[in-house]
Amino acid sequence: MECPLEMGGRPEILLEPGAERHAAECARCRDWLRNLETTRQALDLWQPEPVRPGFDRALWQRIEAEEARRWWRPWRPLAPALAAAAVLVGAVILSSGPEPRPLAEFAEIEQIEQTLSDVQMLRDLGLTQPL
Amino acid sequence: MDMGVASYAIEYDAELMLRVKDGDPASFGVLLSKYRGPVIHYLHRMVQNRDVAEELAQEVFLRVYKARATYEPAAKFTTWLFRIATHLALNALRDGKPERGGQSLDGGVEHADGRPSAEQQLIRESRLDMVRRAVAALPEKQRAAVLMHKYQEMEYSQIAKVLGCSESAVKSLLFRAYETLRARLAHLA
Amino acid sequence: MRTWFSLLILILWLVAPLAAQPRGKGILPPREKNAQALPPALERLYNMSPEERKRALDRLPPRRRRVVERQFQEYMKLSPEERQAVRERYEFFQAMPPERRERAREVYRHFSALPPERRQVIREELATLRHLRPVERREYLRSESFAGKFDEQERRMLFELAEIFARPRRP
Repeated sequence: MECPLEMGGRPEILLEPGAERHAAECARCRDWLRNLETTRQALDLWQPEPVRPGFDRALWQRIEAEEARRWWRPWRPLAPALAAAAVLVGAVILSSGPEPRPLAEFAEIEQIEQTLSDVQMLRDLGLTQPL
Repeated sequence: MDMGVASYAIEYDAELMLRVKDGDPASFGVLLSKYRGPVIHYLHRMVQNRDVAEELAQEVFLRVYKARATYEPAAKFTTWLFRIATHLALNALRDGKPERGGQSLDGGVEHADGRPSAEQQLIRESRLDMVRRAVAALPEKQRAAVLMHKYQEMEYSQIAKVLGCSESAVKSLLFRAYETLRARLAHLA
Repeated sequence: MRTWFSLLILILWLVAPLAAQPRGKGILPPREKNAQALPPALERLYNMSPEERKRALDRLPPRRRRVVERQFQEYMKLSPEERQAVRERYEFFQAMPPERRERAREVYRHFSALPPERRQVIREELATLRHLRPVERREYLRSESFAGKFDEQERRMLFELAEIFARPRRP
């Protein structure tokens, strides 16, 4: 195999799985691969920051607003009549039926679900025993 | 997160998205908790501004939710997700959005491991800054390819689908990107 | 207008007592005085009124709701000391980078699919591995005695779990 780093070669094949085989016989490619590893290690310095709390809540609020807009669009011309009816229907629903389910609150129950699932994992793996 | 995970994970994501399509927003919550981190971190490294990255990530997930009715599991969920994220990041970079907040290349990384001395911390910060600047200096497509390859551990074929190019084009982008990074970061070795 | 208003008041007066009635008991354990040592998210669930709990849980599909109820009940059955230990371990887990946490969950999904007797063996092995220093651990993982006890998937699982949950050491 010709050296892919030579002029006119295809250097990108050094990113393919068989590259080590060639590098075993080619000092230049061996150097390149070693440098690649060092570069990738340097990139490890850049570790992610934790996601700020409130991200999910803000997203669910946006989704909720979007859903409300989508639902409302075709009814806009009938707004005055609908508003009057809504007052009456709303009063009845609020006092007798289940409360509306705002999407924003999904974030909370999901957080509870995730916490319980993580706790279960830690217990199942025997990690909660005293060290 | 390893994006080249076993097939059950792929099917699971698609199944969750199909449940969202059937009107189960809680399944969307599962996808959100799974991919919120990877998407925000990818966008942060792309646009180098945390506020803009979170704003864009909100838009990514909002678009996913809005597109649920037409969702078909033709490709991996993560390919679709990162295609949206990349598209938004490239647009934001072209609009000069990250500079608006005046805090590009922002810092403030918190480390959970130990407490280094002030000097060690300074050295670490300075090295980290070099890495950030080296990544920021890459052309946008090369940057996206490197970030997906290095930090999301995506396969070439998946990166190609996200960027809408061939696998060999991805390898070529990556080779050039790693060459540039190697030259800029050689002194860190 | 006055007629409409009177009608509205009348309707509200009729339906208000219905709304005030309790809507059945929850399946979750009743609130008790000793609620300390709960992770914050569970504390929120714990502090909810039965109606609030029901409403919150109703947001989940039935299967997931049952899992949440069962897991919470199990958690609340623990002694305060056990709960404290779980909370401390959970806080340690929460402090890990998100990618690492997600990786742990991924590996745990594989672990959960194993038969109970294999899970027990892996659990015991993990306890041993976590106590080793990184160099000792790698040496042990390369040893023949280790290789003989586990298949490829289990070895990989143990390696990853031991790395993720390695016991923190003082510098």
